[in-house]
This record gives sequence, C-alpha cells and structure tokens, in this order.
Amino acid sequence: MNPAEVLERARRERYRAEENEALQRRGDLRQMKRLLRYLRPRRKAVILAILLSTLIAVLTPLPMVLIKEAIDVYIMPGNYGGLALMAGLLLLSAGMIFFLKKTSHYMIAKIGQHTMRDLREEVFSHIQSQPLRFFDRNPVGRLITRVTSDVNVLNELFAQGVVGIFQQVFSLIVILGVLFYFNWQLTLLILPVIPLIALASWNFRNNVFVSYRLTRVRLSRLNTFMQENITGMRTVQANTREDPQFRLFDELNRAHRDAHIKTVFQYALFFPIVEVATTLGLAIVVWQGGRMFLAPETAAMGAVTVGQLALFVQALERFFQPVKDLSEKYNIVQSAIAASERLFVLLDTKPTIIDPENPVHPGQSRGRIEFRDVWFAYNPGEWVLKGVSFTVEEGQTAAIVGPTGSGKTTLMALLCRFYDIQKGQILVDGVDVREMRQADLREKIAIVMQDVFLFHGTVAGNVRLGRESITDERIREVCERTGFDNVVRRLPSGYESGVKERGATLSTGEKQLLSFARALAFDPHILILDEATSNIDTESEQQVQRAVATLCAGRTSLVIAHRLSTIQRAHKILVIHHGHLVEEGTHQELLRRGGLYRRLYDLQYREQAAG
Amino acid sequence: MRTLSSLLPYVRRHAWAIVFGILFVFLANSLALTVPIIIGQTVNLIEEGRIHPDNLFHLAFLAVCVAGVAACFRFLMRRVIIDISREVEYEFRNDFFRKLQSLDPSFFDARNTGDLMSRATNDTDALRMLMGPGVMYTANTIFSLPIALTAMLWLDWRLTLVCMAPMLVLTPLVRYFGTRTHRMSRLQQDSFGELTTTVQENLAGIRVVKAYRQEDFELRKFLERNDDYIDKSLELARLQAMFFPSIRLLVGFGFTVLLLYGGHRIIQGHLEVGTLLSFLLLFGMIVWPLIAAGWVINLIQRGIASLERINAILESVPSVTEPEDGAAVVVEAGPPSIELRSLTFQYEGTLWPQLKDIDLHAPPGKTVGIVGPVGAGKSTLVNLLSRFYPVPRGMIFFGGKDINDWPLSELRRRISFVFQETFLFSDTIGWNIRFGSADNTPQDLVEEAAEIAQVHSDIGDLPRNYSTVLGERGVNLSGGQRQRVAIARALMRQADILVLDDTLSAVDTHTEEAILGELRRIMERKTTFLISHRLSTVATADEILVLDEGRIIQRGTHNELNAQPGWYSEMYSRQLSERAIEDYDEEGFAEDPAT
Repeated sequence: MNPAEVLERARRERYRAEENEALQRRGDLRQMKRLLRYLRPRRKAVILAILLSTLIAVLTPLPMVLIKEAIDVYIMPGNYGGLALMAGLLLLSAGMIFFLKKTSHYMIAKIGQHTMRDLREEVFSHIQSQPLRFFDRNPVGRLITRVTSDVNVLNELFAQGVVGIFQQVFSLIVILGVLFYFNWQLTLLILPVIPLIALASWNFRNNVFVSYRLTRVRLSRLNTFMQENITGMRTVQANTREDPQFRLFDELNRAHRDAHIKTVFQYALFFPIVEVATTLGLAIVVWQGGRMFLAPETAAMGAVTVGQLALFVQALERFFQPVKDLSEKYNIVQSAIAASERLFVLLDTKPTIIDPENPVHPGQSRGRIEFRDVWFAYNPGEWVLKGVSFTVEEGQTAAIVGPTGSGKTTLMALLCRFYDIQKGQILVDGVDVREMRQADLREKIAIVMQDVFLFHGTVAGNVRLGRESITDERIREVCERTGFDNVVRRLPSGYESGVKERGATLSTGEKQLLSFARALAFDPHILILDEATSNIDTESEQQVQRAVATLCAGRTSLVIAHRLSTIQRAHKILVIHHGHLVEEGTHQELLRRGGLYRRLYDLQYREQAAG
Repeated sequence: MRTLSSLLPYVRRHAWAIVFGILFVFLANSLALTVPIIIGQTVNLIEEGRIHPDNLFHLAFLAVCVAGVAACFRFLMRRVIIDISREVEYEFRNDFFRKLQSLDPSFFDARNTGDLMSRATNDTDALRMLMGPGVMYTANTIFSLPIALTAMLWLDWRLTLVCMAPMLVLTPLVRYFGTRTHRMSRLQQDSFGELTTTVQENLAGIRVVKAYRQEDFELRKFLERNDDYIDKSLELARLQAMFFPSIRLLVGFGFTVLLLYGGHRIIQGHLEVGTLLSFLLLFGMIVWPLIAAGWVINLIQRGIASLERINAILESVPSVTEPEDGAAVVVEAGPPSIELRSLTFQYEGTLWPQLKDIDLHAPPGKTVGIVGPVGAGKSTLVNLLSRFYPVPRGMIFFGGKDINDWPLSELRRRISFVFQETFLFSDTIGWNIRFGSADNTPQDLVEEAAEIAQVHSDIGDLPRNYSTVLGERGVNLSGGQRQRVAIARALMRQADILVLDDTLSAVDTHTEEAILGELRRIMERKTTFLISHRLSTVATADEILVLDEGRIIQRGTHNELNAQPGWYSEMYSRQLSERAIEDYDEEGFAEDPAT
C-alpha cells in the first residue's frame, strides 16, 4: 500500500467518524423549555391558537357524520327535505372549517414570526454589546448565520411544529371517538390495524432521521469540497491535480447520492405500507360490517347501517394522514433544537467589558489623558504594550510615532476601552476609564481611523450617523471647515448623494476628509486620529493637512502621525517601539537626542521636509 | 425546448428505467383505483342482501390483494423514478465540476464563488425535482385522471359530470397560488438579503459603531429591516394559510354536490348506495392528481430556469486550451530553457497592456529575481509561464517550442508554483504537502521538504503532526506557517522550474533567511523565478528584473543595480535602514509586568 492510499484510508475513517457523530447527536429537550419561554409574551394568542386547533380537530369528522346521517336518515327513507338540509349543513361545515383553518394557520404564523422578531432583536443587540475581542475571535460570517438563518430554522418549529403536532394528534383521537360512538364493535375490529401503522411509522421515522442526518453531513462535505476547489482552482491546475481531485469529488458526490437513495427507499416503502393498511381496514369493515348487516343475529356483535359503513370507509381514509405528517415533523423539531443550542451558547456569552455598578460621572474638565504603567496583551503572555506611561494635558496635541507593529493603534483602542488592560491605569480627566460608563467615555472621544468605514446611505447620513441633533446646517459647516465641501460640490446630488460600504464613489483622500467632517460634527473633547499613510494624491494631501489642523485646534488630540507637518505641530511626540515608550519630547528635543526618532526622521520624514 | 433538449443525453442514459418507471405508475394507479369499486360493489351486494355472509371474506380478501399488488408497483415506481433523478443530479454535478476544472482563472476572476455554488446546489436541486417528482407526478396525473374518470363515468356518468364540475377550478387555483407564492417568496428572500446586508454592514463597521456610540441607531436600523422581513413573511404566510384550506373547501363543494345529486339519484332509484360510496372514495383519490398538476407546472418552469443557469456554465468555452495536435507534440525530457521574446500581454476587457516588450533568456539553472512596485505586472508575468491566461503565439518559448504547442499538463508538470495567496485544503497537512506529487512518494521526502521550508518543527508541535486536519473544525495555521506549507508542497513536486510569487511575505526575516539558505542549494539545479518585496530575497539571483507599469526599467545583478541610481538602489537603502530600526537596541526595558 503506498502512502497516498494510507492517506485515503485515513480520510475515509475520518468521514465515517464524522458521520457517526452526527447520527448519534440528539437534541436536548431542555432547550425546548427555554424556547417555549419566548412564547410567554404572546400567551393569549397561543391559547387562542390552541383553542382554534382544538375546534378544527373536533369539526374534522363532521362532514363524514353528516354524510352518514344523510344516507341513513334521509336518503334510504327517501326524504328530500332532510337531504337538502344535510347538504346545506355539509356546505356550512366546509365553510366553517375553511375559515377556522385559514385563521389559525395565519395566527400560528404570526406568533412564530413575532417570536422570531424578538429573538432576532435579542441576538443582534447581544452581539452588539460584546467587546471587540469577541469580534476578533468570531468571523463575521458565523455571526450573520446566527442572526439570520439559525433564527429562521426556529420559526419553522413554531409555525408548523408545536401546534401542528397537537392538532394532528387531537384530530386522530376525535375521529376514533366518533367511530366508537356510532359503532364500538366495528371500531374494535379495525383497531388492530393501528399498531401495524404505528410500527411502520416508528421504523420509518428512525430510518429517515438517520438518512436525513447522513445526507446533510454528506451534502455539506460535498459543498465544502466544491467551494474549496473553486477558490483554489489555480492551485489545482498548477499542480495538474484535476484528475485526482475529480475522483475525490466523484466519491463524495456518489456518497451523497447513495445516502439520498437510502431515504428514497424509506419513503418508497412507507407510503405503500400505509396504503395497504388502509385497505386492510376497509376490507375488515366490509367483511365484518357486511356480516353484521346481513345477519345481525349470527354476527352477535350488534347491528350496522349502510350509513355507518360509509362513515367507516371515509374515516379510514382520513385516519392515516396525521401519521404520515407526524413522521416528517420530527426532522423539523430536531434541526430546530440544534439551531437553538447554537443560539443559546451565543446568548450565554456574557460581555466581558461592562459598565461599573456605580459609575463615576466625569466632571467639567476637557480631556486630560493619562496612561499609568499600562500593560496589555491580546493573547496571554504576548505583551503588546509594556509599561507605557504618559500624560497629555487638555487642549494639547500628542503625536505617536514608531515603526509598524509597535503598538500605536492598540494604544488608541485602549483609550476608548475597546479592550481592558491587564495592569496599570488609563485615566481620562482623572477618572479610570473602567469606572465610567462606556457611553460617557466615548461621548468625550471621536476616533478617525485610517481605513474609513462608510455606511450604506447618503453623504450627509455618513457625517451625522445616528445623532439627529446634528442639523443640516451643522453638516454644511463642518464640511466647509474640513474642506470636504469641495468634494460634495462635485457629487451629483450634493449632500444627498449615495455612498456605499467601503465607498467606491469616493477616493481614499476624499473618504478621509469625510471622516474628519464626521469627527468634527460630533465635537469631541478628545480626538483620536490614525493618519492615512499613502494613496492620497497631492491635491487632497494639502487639504488633509489643513483639515487635521482644524480638527486638532482647541481639543486634546492623540494622533498616529505619518506626516511631518503634524508631528512638528504637536506639543509632544511619543515614540513607541516594541510596546515601549522609548522617547518623549518635542521635535527639536528628540532630533537633538539622536535616538530612534532621529533614525525614523532620517528615513521617512526628511524627504517630506525637503519636498 | 432548446433548453430541455440538453437533458436528452441524460435521459437517454436512463431510457429503459424511465420507461419501466412510467409503466409502474400506470399499473399502480389502475390497480389502486379498482379498490373503491370493489368496496362499493360489495356494499351494494350487502345492501340488497344478494350475497351470503360467508362469501364476504373473499371479496374483502380480493380488495387487500389488489391493494397489495398496487402497493408493490407504487414502491417500484418511486424507487425507479426518484432514483433516476438522484442519478441525474449526480451526473450533472460531476459534469459541472469537470467543466469548472477545465476553465481558466479569468473565468473565476469574473464570477463570485457564491454564484457558482448556488448553481451547483440550488439549481441542480431544482433540476432533480424536475426529473424526479416532476416526471413521477406528471405520469401519475396523466394516468390516474383518465382511469378514475372512466371508472366514474362507467358507474354513473350524470353524477360524474355534476360532481367534477367544481373540480375544474382546482388546477388553475393551484397554479395561481403557486405563482403568487413564488413571487411572494422572492420578495421575502430579497428582504432577507437586505436584513443580512444590514447585519453584515454593522459587524464590518463595529469599530465605528462603538466609537461613535451608534448602537441604538444601528439597532433601530436593524429593527426596521427585521420588521420589513416579518411583514413580507406574514404576507407569504397569509397566502399559504389560504392554500390548503381553499382546496379543502373546493373538495367540500364537490362532496356536497355528490351528496345532494347522488342522494336524489338513489331516491329516484337510479343509483345504488354502494356506488355512491365508490364515488366518495374515488373522489378523494382524484383530488391529489389535480393538485399535483398545478404544482408540477410550477416545478417544471423552475426546473427549466435552473437548467438554463447550469447550461450557461456547461457551455462556457475555456480561453486556454490544449494544442490541437497536443498528443503528437514531442517535448524533450529534462529542464527546458525559457525564452520571452518581447512579451506583451493585455487582460481581456482592460484598456492597457499589463506587460510590454519583456525579453528574457533563462537557461536551465538560472535564477531570475523580479521586483517592482505593486501592480507592475510581476505576478502576471509568472502566471503566463504556466499559461493561466491565454499567451499570444511567438512570445514565450520553452525548450525552443512555443508554449502554446506544449500539452498543458506536460507544461504544468514542469513547474512548481507557489502563489502569492496560499491556498490549503481542509484536509491533513500531510495530504496538503503531497498535493501535486506522485502517490507513491515516501513519507521521508515529505518531512524533508517540510524541513527545508522550516515548517517541520511547527508541524511537530501540532496535536497529530502530519495527520492534523486544517480548516474550519481543525487547526488553523498562521499566515507564515501556511506559506511555508505551500513551499514544502512545491518542493515535493521535483519540477524543473520553481516559481515563488512573493511567498515569504508573512514569514519573518530570520526564518526567511533560513529557508532561502536551504533553497539556494536546490535552486542551483532548477530554473527559478523569484518575486519579492524584500530586495534581500532576490539579491543572489543571476539576473534581477525591475518592473514598473509592465516594462523592464532596470535589469542586472544585485551589485550592478545597487551601483547605479534608480528604483532599485533607492529601495535597497531604504529597506536597509528599516531593518536597522527593527533591530533597534532596546536594553533596559521591562519585558514582563512582574519585573
């Protein structure tokens, strides 16, 4: 056996283990209890829906009973008036059932949809309340699935699961009761057919459940494989692996087909069995019922009428419908439980950054920043900031300088309390950021990131975001002050022009200006600015420089600076390297010192100074 | 019709099975429909007292037997027809996959994976529905309706005509609901798409949301979409809540007419009560085929639309093809020399050429370094060597032959390619490294390759070493580790030509030096193309090309290029000082909070 075959064998083993695991997994019914709690706010609607379903179940045998009465009481004796009455009643009952069903189906759908709306809202706000660390760890795609598809699966459970099952079982009981009432002897005779059906359904349910899971596992494997091969097609082609990859695909495709064919077998077997069982019931009815009718004295089991025979024949047809439905609903319940497990795990993840119980309300001062021996690591042991201490007095501008990966951006995220530090203190206006409400802290701060994120909407909407107190006047004013109005003037519908996420309509420099306008509109005490490095044409470059000056004026500013002009204007330069604050001072002081700043200056800024 | 004709080869392959399947449908239906007649006639005999109680058993037994045989045929019918549909689905998927494999990167550049996946899954599924349930229920309706109607007409034609009248509305009713449901669910799907986009936007911009305290505003925005989706869903639910009850109502009409007119006929003495019973049963059996007729029409429409979408892919023509007399072309064994003669190349649908007048001669064993700013055409140049894009004739020669004359697989077999973006499959690491080399390559070679790529000890740290599964549910490697696995994979191929397209970008400088040190030994025996942003990587190359905007602006050895003013020497001194800052001495700073 060559090594490739060993790998093949190992792969098959792995698949088999995966399949077995999927087959053995059963939903935990405790999840159901927790799910039912979501129905509580709609208690009245649920009770009404159950009442309606009960009523429907009670009315289900009515048409058959009416036909029976019509045959026995009116047709056989030849009573026209009564027959018309029965036909009228039959029509009436059909109309009633139509109305009740229509109403209850819609009502149940409404309960399900509204429950989903609440659950979806809860999941969404829960995700939003999570700290950034949570988003670093959970890929966006997975979170989207939780909010959208997983919640939808649950809807099916509410819409057709719970109430549907109840109605089916109840109507089965009512039909049986009616049969007993009219002829208990004949009912007893057909009862033995029921265990037969029950056994077949039980078997069917189990087998279909198994093959259903199997098809799901195999389909998702097939899809993953196809998806990978599409994204990695160049790798496949470069390695001339088309044929072996096709063989693997064929194998997965075949396995998926075979799992389905097994399911087909189950269905092909089950439906005919139910049909035969129904006919068996019919045969018993005409055989034994006929005996009772022809010779009531010898049958020794009481009399029977033609109408009753008609009733039994019709009832048997309706009898097995619920059985078929019930078996199929089992799958819905199972996948809903799996989805709810995933949702509850998410909902049980408590946010790690929370507001203090007794928050300190920051006073009137305007944005003094102090870092005291701050240590921070994203992952335990991998320190990103190592004992950083500095202060920025209110109204001052501090430029942060250092090579890529030195911890500059982290520093800014910590000031906003996007992450909690492991050691030390960060104080804003003399208060530890952990002792304030996050909203109060962030109220003081506006942050402008290098990678500008635009929301789907208009230019004005992207300046204002959700703060309605920012008037159109104000938007125009801040755009003028940042020089963004020149850009707006060129846009087809001015401030109402549409922009998209990662907006393609605006250049990088223009987007930067927009984000400056946004920050200015919010008029923060503290400004955090991550200056864009490149991809800005010279024209907007100068605009950006002017805008930065406007922005920083009169407020505490912390700027990750790439532009010499910004650095030279700063009251203080902080040089960060490998998580340490290595130098601190003004431009001239640091140049004289001849340390890291001097080197950086020689390398990166001298050209700018010359140019 | 032209669309449907593309199904012919698949249908032909299963022609006999389809014929038998349809035969089974016919048999099952004709037998099943006799049961109500037997039951009804028996009741007639009972009612008139024309039968001895002991003979009843025979008739009852007959009914069960007939039903039993019908059930057997029904079992066979489902097995045969539905199995064929799964078989065809399987064949279509295989053909689809095969087709994708034959298409070149420009095809994939122009389409997103989601769209192709949706064709491979949703559309093949719609096609399967057309071939399976579509065929089965059509046959069912076609056979059972005439049979049941004939039986009913034979029993009492007046009653048949009267009670069937309301049923004529059934098929159009189902059609109407089907079309509207389809339209409504499209609207619902669109609304769902918008909901998803809103969530996606919120999550992508979460930093801005948090920094500007937009949580409440975002929630309101989300709730608006959420409500819209609920509204659309409820509209759909309203429609669906009407559907089955409406059918029941219609059937209720039928029953009323049956009772009224049938009762009248019995009282008049024209009809026996058992026959009325047969009617009640047959009537129930006729309803489903009528519903199915409406449903099947929608199903076929959707199936055809999907078939069109699949065919759009199956009929695409690859722009890179095998040479016509490919098999006849004899290529020499051994490393070919490579020659580019004023290579000019332009991507389809673009305005400017990506490469202009590139000349190069690379005899076996030569190492060519390619550097230059982003977008200069470096990757395009090496991608053309593997013919990932159509190469104009007379521009690239391997061993003196135009590469368009080389059999594609033979050409690619000669090249080990490591791409800028590493792609690994969610399989074991061992399998990923072996990807592209012969099946019987011994394990030591795998480990040797990993050793050279400096990833062997990383793999040793993983829970199951070379048997560790990568990906979604398995272990995730860092960017640098992934690149090194990809290098190991390329080394395993033992090809004559090695292409490294900026493959060490995520590897730190020290590891890079270790890898290059090992590689240089191997590179002596191969023709190597080395693209890098770090000039130190290409410094030892025999010839370095500096590309800018598709042209060679400088060429020569490292020493030559560094000696002359220009892009190369400027970039080199810059990178040297960056390196110096990286290694900046930081003595006297604490590395741990405890100190």
